[in-house]
Amino acid sequence: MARTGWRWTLRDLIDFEQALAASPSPTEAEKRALAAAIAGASGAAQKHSGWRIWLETRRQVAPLQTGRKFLNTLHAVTTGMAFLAITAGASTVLGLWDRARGGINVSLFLALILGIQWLVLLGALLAGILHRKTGEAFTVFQGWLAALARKFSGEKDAVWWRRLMEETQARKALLWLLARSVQTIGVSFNLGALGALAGLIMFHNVGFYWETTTEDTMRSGLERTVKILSTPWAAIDRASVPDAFTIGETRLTSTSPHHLPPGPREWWRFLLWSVVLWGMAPRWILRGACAWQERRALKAFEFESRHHRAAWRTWFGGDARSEILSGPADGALVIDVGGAGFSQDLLRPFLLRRLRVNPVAWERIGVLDASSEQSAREALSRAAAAIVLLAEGWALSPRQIEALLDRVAAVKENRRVILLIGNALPDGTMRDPSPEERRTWQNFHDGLAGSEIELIFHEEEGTKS
Amino acid sequence: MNDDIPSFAVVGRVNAGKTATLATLLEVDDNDVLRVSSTPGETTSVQILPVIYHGQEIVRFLDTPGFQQPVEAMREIERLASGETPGPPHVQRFIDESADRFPDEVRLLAPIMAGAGILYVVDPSNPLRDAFLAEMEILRWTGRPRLALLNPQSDVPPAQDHAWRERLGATFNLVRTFDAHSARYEERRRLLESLLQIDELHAASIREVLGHMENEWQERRERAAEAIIDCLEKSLLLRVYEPIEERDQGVPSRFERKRAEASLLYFKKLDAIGRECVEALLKLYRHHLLQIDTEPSQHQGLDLATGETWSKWGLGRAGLAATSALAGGVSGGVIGSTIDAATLGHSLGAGTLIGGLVGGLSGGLGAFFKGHRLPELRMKPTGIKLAGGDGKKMVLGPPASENFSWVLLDSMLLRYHGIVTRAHGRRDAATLEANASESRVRTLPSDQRTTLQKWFTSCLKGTPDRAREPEVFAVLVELLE
Repeated sequence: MARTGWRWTLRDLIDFEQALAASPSPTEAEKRALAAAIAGASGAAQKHSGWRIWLETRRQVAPLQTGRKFLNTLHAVTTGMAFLAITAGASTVLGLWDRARGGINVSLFLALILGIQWLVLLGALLAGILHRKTGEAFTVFQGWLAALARKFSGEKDAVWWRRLMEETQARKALLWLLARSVQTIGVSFNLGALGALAGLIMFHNVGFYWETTTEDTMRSGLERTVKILSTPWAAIDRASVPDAFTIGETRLTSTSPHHLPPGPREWWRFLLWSVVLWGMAPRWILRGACAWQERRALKAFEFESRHHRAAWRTWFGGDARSEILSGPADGALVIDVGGAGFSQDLLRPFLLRRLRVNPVAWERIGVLDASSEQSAREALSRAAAAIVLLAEGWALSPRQIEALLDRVAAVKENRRVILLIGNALPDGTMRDPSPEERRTWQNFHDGLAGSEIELIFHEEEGTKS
Repeated sequence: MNDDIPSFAVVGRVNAGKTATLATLLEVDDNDVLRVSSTPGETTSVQILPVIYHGQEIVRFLDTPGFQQPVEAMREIERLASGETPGPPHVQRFIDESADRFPDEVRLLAPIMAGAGILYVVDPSNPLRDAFLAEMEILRWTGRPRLALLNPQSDVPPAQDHAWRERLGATFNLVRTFDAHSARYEERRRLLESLLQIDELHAASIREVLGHMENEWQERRERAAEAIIDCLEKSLLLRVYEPIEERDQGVPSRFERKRAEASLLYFKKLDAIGRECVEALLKLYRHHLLQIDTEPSQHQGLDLATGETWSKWGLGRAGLAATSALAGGVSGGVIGSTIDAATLGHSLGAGTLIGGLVGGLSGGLGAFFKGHRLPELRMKPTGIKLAGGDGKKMVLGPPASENFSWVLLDSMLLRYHGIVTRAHGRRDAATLEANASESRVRTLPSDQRTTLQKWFTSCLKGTPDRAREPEVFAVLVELLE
């Protein structure tokens, strides 16, 4: 009975495709064992459990490392990229710190740290909608990640990769795995930015400001942005929401001091909240969504692409009845002695009904054509049952027939040898021999002591033999 | 005879169609293996025909020589019974003692007395004569399970049919009709199922064969669907590239000649793809005598060059327009919905509506007006510079008609139909003629048409939609009988 509830992971799928591509044809014993293992299941469940059992069997034969190797490499690449992203996040914040003035421009901070991330997110969302049917929404970054992971795991031109790319759900699962890695890197970027900002606040008493040449527009825009961004925590932490007075006070003007004083507190608390809630949290949520989508895709994987169907038939099908190859063993070589020209079509029914042999080859002997004997010898292989010598009643030439029978006896093995006597009419019909001819042939046959040769006289249908 | 393997001897009068029955039942159309002919006495000895699955013989059938002297044989058995009611011991004695006088009867009765069940084949278009009654009597005396098969080789008058059935019903456990020259899978399966009713002892083996047979048939349909998908994909992706040198570009006659040559090459290649598919189908269904009807130089078979093909096969004009409209509408709708999403819903779904309408209208109208155009190949003098010098490359194919894919599919479905409806008992080397039948795709439900149309479109564009291919496969498997 097939076990239900198998859960496939990407590692399993990669191992599966790799093993499938490398597997030789199954033996009958393997097929029988697999058929017994999936008995009782049907449809998609049968394929899921059937292939899973197959994969576990392969793993027992030889450990499969491809999936683990690729995923570990991808993990390592993601970790490396995450460290780079932390550095990038921290560097961006440090770059925004105006050392001479001792402050950070909050509008630039929001635009660079959060604005760009959201633009990328919306772009990816749009791409996802455009390609939602086919699951082909690989971003450039995901493509790079996958290429790097394959390159470092030594699987750059792997067959499993091409096969997974051909299957919609597998492709989706890979897409979401890579998307999850990208989100991990995104979280790291925000972590770097958060750490750098916290460091500046704690160790450098950093101040915050904004500047503009269009006072009213920029100010109202900033106030609106602050209001929208701080909505999630405004009710619980009012001190982290810069009000209109604070915003007005922190605008950089010609009268502002050359070196800014630390704070105000509202701004740095607002920025910390913003990075956590608008930078890091969406990435975490998306990361979770990616994991969920990956699981969904793996669950929906149906093993229905062309190569899966072919492999299923190879390993679990193949219920083909063996072809019947051997025919009836009643084939006879018919040798026209002297080339009387008996008609094959007219004589065939007589041979079938009366002699119970099926003429499969017709040859001539005792004729001027020197190649005919060789041809007759070659035709013997097709005549499993008998050798029929056709001779005309009037044409008994004892020496010739004896010599011929000697040659036939040398090659006859366990075949019947039949001497069929009749006379040829111009249209090829065989007519009965005369009584005199019968006596002559009978005497000749009686003289062949110990011979197993059957002497048959042609008789019209309906007459007694 | 090995009792573990159930055996069934097919017996009957000479020329009753015993071998043809077995040929159809076991799908053998090779005369070297099973000789079927109108010559009486074609079968000279008992031939064992094993049914082997996975290397294991499960059931065997025995082809036997026909009864030649049934009345005389019956009298001989009665004589051997010495006034008693003849039974198996007397038949056995007949086998042991009468081989010289009744060689054929002895040959056919020997396996029955060794344990084989009886499949008695009669041609009810022949009148019910005493010779047949004698055959029935002899078979009854064997005491073996008996199934009578009516294999009509021409029209049977109702009264004669009734007389046969009545008589056979009195002597045989079961009477069934099995036309060896037209029986298909269903009839073959029913015949095997009938064996269950006459031989309970070997029911497990017979059921095993039936199970294997069902699996095998399903697998054949799947393999046939794969072959047809492969053929369609290759055909729709087919392009012929013909270099046009710069000096030829300005001379219309030379250009036309190049185009005609490329066109012929295209159809030759298309024909080869179709031929490969039909050969695969013939092999799958074990046909060796059927000939493929294609002639590349004249585009026969598929007959792409004749208007009749395009009006008879593929979708009708209205159906084509509706399918294209539906497929186009869905695509347009997807694009429209993307616009809606991009505007965060501010377009209030207008994108989807307009996209659907525009896509549907353009697809539908295009198909309506162009769908039945004769196969004028799409041609793109692409402007690809030839690597070796001046000139350009002409890309030819596929035919511009929207109906091309449907005509191709129809031709394959009709050929498939010709293959599966051909009984293996026939020995005439017939040509597989697709144009003898009516269009199959016109009866498809609209959802299946839409699925196929979308996949066709992706193939015609040069990028087969792999995600949709399993759906196409499922539709085809359902379509194949």
